[in-house]
Amino acid sequence: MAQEQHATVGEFAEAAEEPRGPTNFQLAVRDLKRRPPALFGLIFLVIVLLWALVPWLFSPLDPYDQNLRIFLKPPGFVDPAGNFYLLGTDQQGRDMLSRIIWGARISLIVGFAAVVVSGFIGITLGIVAGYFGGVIDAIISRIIDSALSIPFILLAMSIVAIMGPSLRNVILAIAIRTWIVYARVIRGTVLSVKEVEYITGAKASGCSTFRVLFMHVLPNVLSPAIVIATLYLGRMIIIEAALSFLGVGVPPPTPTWGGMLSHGREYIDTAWWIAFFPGMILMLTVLSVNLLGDWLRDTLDPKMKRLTE
Amino acid sequence: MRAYIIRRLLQSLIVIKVVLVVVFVMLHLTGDPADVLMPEDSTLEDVAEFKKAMGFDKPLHVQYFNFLFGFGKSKGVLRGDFGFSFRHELPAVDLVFEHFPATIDLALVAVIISIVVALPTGILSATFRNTWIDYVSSIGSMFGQSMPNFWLGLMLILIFAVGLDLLPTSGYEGWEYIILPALTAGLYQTARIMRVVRSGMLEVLGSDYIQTARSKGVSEYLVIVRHALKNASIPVVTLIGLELGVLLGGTVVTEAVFAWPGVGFLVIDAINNQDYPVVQAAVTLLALIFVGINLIVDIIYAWLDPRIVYG
Repeated sequence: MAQEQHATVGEFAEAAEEPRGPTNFQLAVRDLKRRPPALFGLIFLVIVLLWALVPWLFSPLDPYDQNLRIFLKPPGFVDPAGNFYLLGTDQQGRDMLSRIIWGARISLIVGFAAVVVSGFIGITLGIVAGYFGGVIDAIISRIIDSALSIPFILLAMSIVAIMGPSLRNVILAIAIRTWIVYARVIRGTVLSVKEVEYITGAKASGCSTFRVLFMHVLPNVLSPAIVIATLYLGRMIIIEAALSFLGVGVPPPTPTWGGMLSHGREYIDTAWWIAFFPGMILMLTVLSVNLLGDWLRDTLDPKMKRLTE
Repeated sequence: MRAYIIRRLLQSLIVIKVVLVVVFVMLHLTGDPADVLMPEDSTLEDVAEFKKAMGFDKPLHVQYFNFLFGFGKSKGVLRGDFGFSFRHELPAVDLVFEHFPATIDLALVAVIISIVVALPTGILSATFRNTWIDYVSSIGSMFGQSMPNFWLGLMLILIFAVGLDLLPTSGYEGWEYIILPALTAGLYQTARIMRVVRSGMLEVLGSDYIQTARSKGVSEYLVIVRHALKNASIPVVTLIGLELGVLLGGTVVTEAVFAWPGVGFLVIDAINNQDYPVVQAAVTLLALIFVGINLIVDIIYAWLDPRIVYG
């Protein structure tokens, strides 16, 4: 791991020398039109975002409405009342499509919240470690190594099981490990910029340490932080689904894609649609996030490529 | 070199120390381990007695000391004693060791499959850059990194067990049982190794000595096999070592899908039954193995490539 960090210092030293104009955003938009995969990602993600924000506009039926007389009906089923079940019904007779649409909420809330919480911890510790160096750096680096060595899913499962299954605890259990990704990359970035003239200049002109860190160092690490956030958002969504799948996610009856999939395992011999559709949507969502993340990395910070692969 | 190894050893010891603190703190997250360990309908007297027997009535630092060095009948985790599994009435460590071989089998087969798939595709993809081979494998690796592996597991069951009735879906009673779980567990690693092989090869293929070899008239096949592969393989070796460490602790979800009798399955069962000594033992042992593999990989790396700065 030590070698990786050394490589990053050199790379970011190069990156820091290139001036970045404010027109990057406009360039990025223009570029997006030339990249169909990223454009697909954007469109699909907007749809899922809308599902999460205003699910009642899209959901044909009530996702909580149970009817045991029509359980495990295949896609395309029409009940006596004339309700159409495009993706079939689950083991309690609830509409699969409506539950998938409402399930977008938990996935996106947990994904975004975990990214923000872990980003906050990781950026702070990464800046502190990189800027102050010495003992502080050594301590933070050992904490990072330790967090890396503990099996992630086992730790997250234990935390949720011990603290109780709830939205907050799921977010914490995921963020408690993922901050290290930010911390490692940002530590490297800070190491490479902290001796740059305008920062030594700011120090010499009497800026307080906090001001130097906040006004001069922080802006330098924002673009790698944004890239990491998008590239890891997808993985966090998968981890949330995995926790729900294992029964330690946001508790039922709240619809979650992972929770639906765990029933899919149970009824896999008789009702393939329960295992198929939620996972398909989950995969397309993560794929969209990743495609957008790749594009964002290439446009914002091409030097990140090696780090994040 | 020797100074580097000694420093890495010391760092590893510190890491293990921190892991032990985390494993200890885990039970104290709610403030009172008796809450976590005792059934909800226990009487107050039972709880008080239990706390006394386990030493949970002592101050926290004393409890940590007891956790490490032993208390009552326990010999302490430093001597490999994590206490008894409440459910199986066996030492927690023994239970973990009992389930370990199945997890090792799964992780090894998964890594072998991912190497066999990822190495050639990564090399071909870099060699025939921007051709259909490259596009297909890049799209494949993108999907591989985006697909939740438990969903892949479910789809494999649907196709090969429910649909074609070819392979078993749960347990471990023979070699045919390992195929679907290993494919599932190795998915992410395959995609990752593929990307790293591809970008490593691309980097090497662009370097001066490859240009020299080509201009000398060395055939393209020899350029790739003799010159490029050798140098592109160093980061790949490191990555494969690390992925094996990650996989040993990361097959939990796969084990859940296929009822695979490994450590992950054991831990899921233990968590559902509040059997935390087993969880603590498993987390600690897996972390120890990860640290060990990491140490070995770093030392091999330093030995393979003496130019690296020892940091």
